[in-house]
Amino acid sequence: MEKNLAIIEGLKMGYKERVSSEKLLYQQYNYFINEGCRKYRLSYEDSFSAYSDAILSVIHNIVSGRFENKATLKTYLFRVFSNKCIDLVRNNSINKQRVHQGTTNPDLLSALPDKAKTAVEVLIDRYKESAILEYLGTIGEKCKEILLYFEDGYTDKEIAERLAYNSAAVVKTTRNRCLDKLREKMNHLLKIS
Amino acid sequence: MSELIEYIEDYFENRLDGEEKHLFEARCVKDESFARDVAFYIAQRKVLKEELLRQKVAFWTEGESKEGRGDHPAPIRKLKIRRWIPYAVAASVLLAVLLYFTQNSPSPRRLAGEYIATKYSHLSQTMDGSVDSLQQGIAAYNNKDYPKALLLFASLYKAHPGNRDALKYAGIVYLRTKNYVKALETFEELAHAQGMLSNPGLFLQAVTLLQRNAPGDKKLAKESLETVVQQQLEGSEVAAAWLHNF
Repeated sequence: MEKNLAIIEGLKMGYKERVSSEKLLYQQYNYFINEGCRKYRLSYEDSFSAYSDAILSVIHNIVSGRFENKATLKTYLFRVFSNKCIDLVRNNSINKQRVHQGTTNPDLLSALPDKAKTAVEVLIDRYKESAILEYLGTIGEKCKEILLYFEDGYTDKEIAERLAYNSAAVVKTTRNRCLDKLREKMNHLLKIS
Repeated sequence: MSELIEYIEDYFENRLDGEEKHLFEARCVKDESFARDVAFYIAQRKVLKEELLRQKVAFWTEGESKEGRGDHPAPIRKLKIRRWIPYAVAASVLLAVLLYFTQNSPSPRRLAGEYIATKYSHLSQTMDGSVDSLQQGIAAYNNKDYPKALLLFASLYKAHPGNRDALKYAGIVYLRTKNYVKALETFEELAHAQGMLSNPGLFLQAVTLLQRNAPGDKKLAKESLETVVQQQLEGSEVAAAWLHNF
């Protein structure tokens, strides 16, 4: 219990504490992976993937304040993990996972209402993951770093402190420029193809 | 173009108000170019998330072999045994006391069984030496020839309804042979017999009920025994002793 409280506190602190707390959280409950195999009859790889994904979601929810301490950390994590496992089972059973692998981001896509979602979903397939990943390596290490920190839930202010930028505004502008660069490269690729 | 990216980000980071959100969503449907930019934004976020997860997993599992993953043992809930010791001791003592009393305080059923075994394993013959049906019946009973004994007692009672001993003995044969229904009927008839100085009918009914031990029998037996005690009928002293064991 105390260990869990320390993990939660650590996740809300600075970069160093957060990184070590993340690892502690991952190690604390990694026996869930075997539970996923046993309870949901998932392959080890699938259960491992569900667990890693669940850990990341829980970290982001704790950092952003969406975790309200209504349940214990273990219960909360297991619920998130179970949902990920169920999604995987469902996707495996209807063989959708392969069809949509690398094409959808359920978290963001589900934020859109049905009509807008449909309009956007058909266009997502055009942006191949492998291509995005490849171009991500060409826009500069700093760009990639900023984008990854942002994806990890760090605010522009925290990124500025971490990467020694003058201000959060500078980080924001840089981040948007980086994305613009990436988008231009992707659109250029789409025009060629 | 950065403004466009910022606008899309504001939507997904929930920084737009209601009206702005509606406009954004409508634009996704009507403006394909805009929908393409939104699609790009979602796609790159997914790739970044996967890349982030890949890097984090590499760090989290540093030094772990693939086979060793998930080997962190599930915690075993440790029972705080010491806390339960006093309760366990108290429960054991209580159980021992209960066992002592139950073993040393025979149940009414057991008492009734012992009563039948000692009192009616052998019937006393009259001293006049006459060889009537009653004596023959008693002899047959003592020889454990219960069918013959019953035949003789029943015939005698039928021929001489005033012979209460014949009725009582017939009931006892029924009781010994575990024909409880007939025994109860016979002792019921005996209990209602008039003109007896001492009537064991109700007491023997209670004994029969205790022996049968069907649902509700114990309660009826207790009521009968209480009546026996209150009315000072035959068997009242034994009945009073047994009532302590209910």
